[in-house]
Amino acid sequence: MKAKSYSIFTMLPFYLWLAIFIVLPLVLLALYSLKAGGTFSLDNYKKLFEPIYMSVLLRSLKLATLATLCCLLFAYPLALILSETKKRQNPVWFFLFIAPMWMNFLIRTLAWRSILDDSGAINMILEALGLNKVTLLGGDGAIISGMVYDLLPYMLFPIYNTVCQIPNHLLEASRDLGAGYFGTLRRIILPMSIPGIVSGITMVFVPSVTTFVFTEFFANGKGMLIGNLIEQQFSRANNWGFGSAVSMLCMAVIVVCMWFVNSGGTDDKGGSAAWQSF
Amino acid sequence: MAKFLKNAYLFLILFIMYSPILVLVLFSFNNDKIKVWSNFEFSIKPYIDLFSNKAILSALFTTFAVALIAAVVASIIGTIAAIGFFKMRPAIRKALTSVTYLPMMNADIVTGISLMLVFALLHFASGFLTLTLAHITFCIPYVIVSVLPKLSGLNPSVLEAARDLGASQSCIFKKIILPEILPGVITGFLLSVTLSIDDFMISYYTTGAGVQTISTYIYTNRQGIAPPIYALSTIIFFILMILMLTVVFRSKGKNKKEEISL
Repeated sequence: MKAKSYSIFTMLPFYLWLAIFIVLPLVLLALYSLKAGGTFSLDNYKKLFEPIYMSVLLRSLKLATLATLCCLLFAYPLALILSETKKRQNPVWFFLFIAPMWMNFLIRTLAWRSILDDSGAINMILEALGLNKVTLLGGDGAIISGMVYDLLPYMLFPIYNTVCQIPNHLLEASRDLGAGYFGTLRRIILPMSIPGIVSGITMVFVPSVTTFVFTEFFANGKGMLIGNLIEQQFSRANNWGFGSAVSMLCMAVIVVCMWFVNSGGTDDKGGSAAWQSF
Repeated sequence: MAKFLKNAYLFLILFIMYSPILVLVLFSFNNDKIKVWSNFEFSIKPYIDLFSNKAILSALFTTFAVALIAAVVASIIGTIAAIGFFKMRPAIRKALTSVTYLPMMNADIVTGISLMLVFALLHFASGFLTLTLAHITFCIPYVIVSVLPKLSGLNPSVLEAARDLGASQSCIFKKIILPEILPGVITGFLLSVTLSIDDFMISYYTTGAGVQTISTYIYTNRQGIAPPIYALSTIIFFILMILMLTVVFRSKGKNKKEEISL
């Protein structure tokens, strides 16, 4: 049958790709994580539970959660306002907010750092006003601000798409039935925007937990987050086993969080709803 | 009043988002020895330095070359995969898509490191090849995600009619399926280009032997940021603005056409 010959023959390159570049890497990661000193053992995982490493994990989760919440708080009203300008210049406004996503990630991070820097824009203004310089870089706040600045478009994009897809007649009906703005918001917009919120949270939380760029740029590399720990194990400490174990833990944490968040709303097209009106 | 607040919020966020970039633009015109505002000296030197800086130029070339190659290959493989997925039973499809979407769901660092392990196992020397393979890998899921919805939108009666009229598989593909899914493929392609240019983590772990992308170059030189990087950022920013204006004018043109046809 024609369908069968498509499925097996044409899909073969893809299956090969899947096996070598998607399945095999993770299998290797798991195997490496179980190797400690030449034998198979769970030593690497036991090491994870030491207080020093647990504190790194907790700090990463804390900062990432705060950054994600901030992104959500800023992006949601933004998405609401933007979707209302639909009748006017919809593409312009939307692209203005999404455009930074097209600029390289590191350039954006660099730009934000140069504002917060000791000789950066904010301090220059303070100096010009005759006030003392303020050291803004170095703490948790700086790291979170960097995360929010970098990742806000990723939160905005899916939420905006989902909100735009809410049929206008539902909103009109709601208002006809007497619900005010906040009533409509609570009963219709909010529940229907959940898939977008879930997408957005995924796209912000995952990078903020694992990207070591943020500590390097905003805290001068001091204070380790999970991404830094992994990076260090693979470069300086040369302990690939432990590094792999931390990576596996990362993956597990993310899977758990995503499962948790996803139980609030899924769609069977594989999360593509948020990307549909790209 | 509400309208004023809404607009104010929009402008506030826009201001916060763009002022760091505009500051970079400003710094790019500064003479590179002095960084302080009061000693600002207008100069195009950073731009001249940029075009004679071999490292940055090769990083730029690598970034775009990898992005283009990865996007093309990923679009082809992803489209074939999406069509294949579409023809499968839901149960198998769900299982396969969960695996395929793993690079999309996973943290970049996990994908990057795990790919590095595979390349080490296969004795591939880290460099342009491994970099490109890695980029193709993480782009494929996004192409599939962009193409699948378009496939769902295909009208099965049209396909049936084509078959009844004697069209061959390849004819059906070329004349019916491809035009329908083309927007999805293009979306996937553009998405891949964007993600590839933007990527840092995966590139960091899968490149080597002096091959650098813009991201890895900036990261390696993060201690002392040179003005040529500011110049590069400014150029990228202006290209973006031009792209946006193009989009704006195209959409305005479309609106006018709709108005006229009404």
